[in-house]
Amino acid sequence: MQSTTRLTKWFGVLSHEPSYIPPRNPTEPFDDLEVTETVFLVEADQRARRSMSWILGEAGLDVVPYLSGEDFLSGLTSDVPGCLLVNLHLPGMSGVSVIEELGRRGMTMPTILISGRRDTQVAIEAFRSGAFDVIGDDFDFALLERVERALGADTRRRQRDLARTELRARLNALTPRERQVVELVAHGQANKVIAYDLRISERTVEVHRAKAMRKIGAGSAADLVRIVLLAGTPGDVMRH
Amino acid sequence: MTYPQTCDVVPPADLPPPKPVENGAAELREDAADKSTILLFNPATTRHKIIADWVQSAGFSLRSSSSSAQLLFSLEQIERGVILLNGELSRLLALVRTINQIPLSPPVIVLVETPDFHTVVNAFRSGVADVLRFPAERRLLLERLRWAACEDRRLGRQRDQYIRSLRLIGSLTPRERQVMRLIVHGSGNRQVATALSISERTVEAHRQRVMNKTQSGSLAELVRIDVIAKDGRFHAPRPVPYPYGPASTTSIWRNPKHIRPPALGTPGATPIPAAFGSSGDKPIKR
Repeated sequence: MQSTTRLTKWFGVLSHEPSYIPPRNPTEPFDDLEVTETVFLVEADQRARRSMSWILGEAGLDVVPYLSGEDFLSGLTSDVPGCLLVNLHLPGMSGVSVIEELGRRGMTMPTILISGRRDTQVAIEAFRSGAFDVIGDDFDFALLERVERALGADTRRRQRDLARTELRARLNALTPRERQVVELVAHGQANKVIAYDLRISERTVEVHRAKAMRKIGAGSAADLVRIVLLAGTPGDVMRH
Repeated sequence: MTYPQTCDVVPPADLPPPKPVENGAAELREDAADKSTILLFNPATTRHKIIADWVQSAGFSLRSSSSSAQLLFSLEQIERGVILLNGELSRLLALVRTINQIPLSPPVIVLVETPDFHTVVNAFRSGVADVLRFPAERRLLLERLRWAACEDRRLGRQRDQYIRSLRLIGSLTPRERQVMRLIVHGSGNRQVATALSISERTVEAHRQRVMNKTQSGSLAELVRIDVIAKDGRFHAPRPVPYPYGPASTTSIWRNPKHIRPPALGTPGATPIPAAFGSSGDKPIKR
């Protein structure tokens, strides 16, 4: 207590933390959303599993251990945030097969293969099947660096997906008619042309357009086009 | 692939990934060799003739280079292609990293005589598409080259659009670029005039010239060019993992009980994300 008082007297601050943290604006996209990243560890050998869990746990990561590839795959339902650390030698499916199976299911989770014998051919095969990284058996804390890299890659991809999902959600809030109008606007059609295409009056098009822009949160026609492009809506518009 | 240097568009860091427009299954065909060039980098000139014969017999056109500068030069000359590097892997890695810094660059395949674990892993970490042992089977090498050519073809449409957008924006004068930036972010003529302290008539004239030079008929097309120029390189499609197609390695590590993935185009196959916004775009005039 004595020392902190002195520090306050000398420097005028206690720490570098800001005294006031502004409240989060609910309208801005969730760029800084905190997601818990999990490391899924598939390893049959108990000692290796324990030591790896310990290393990763000490670094503050959540570790979920599995005994075999089948266990892991059966428990996996949707795309969860995190990365997979899998040994090549497993009782059932081999590590490479687990990675291939993940790719076939369309999972984008980064995977790290632990190849005990440092076999070159295995490494090449694993990378071909979409592994993020391959490491040898004699890792120490270098394991952490590779896992952090994989988790970083996963987080970056997830943030991009999140921004896109958010834009998509805005577009999904539109009524079918508004959506038609928005997509034609995004294709650069004039109001008059849209009115002719959809067999409605130009005034109605204007109303739909204004409503849609308010719902989406676009301040201008340019914003509207940008949002539609970035949300990646399929371009084919039904024409009557 | 010449990237115009005059464009000062700075791409933002975080952007949404591409939309899957269509299933690209039809593209993985035998005629992958059409219009694809193999850029062979062979500094040591060993086994040059045999690789050249193999590649040309499969219908690919070939460009050989013995220096990295020559390779990068011929990279600018081609539209679609695969880079094939032959040599000592540890020495090639710097070149691989240079190539991967080029946005939407073609895939790189490395031929190695005696691959060791560390070098191979480092190669894949620095962005190589595949590592092959050489001398290898002819069929295996050609198979991988075809796969890489398909990958590049998927990437290529996007590269065309990206380069086109950069070119079009690069052809504008600084003032026109200022006007364009304001327009595509939703300013009207009057707002642009106020922001740049010029008259509204001048803005109209600038705007007309911007529309003409970027060959866009509407505001929507202009915004599209802007979005692609900014984000195009971040919309790179995910690579399709190799094992689709005939397996050429028989490995004891692959579990025999395990079923191979369904062939492309069959109902169970994973859909392939295609290039970003590939519909309705004019090809680049060269």
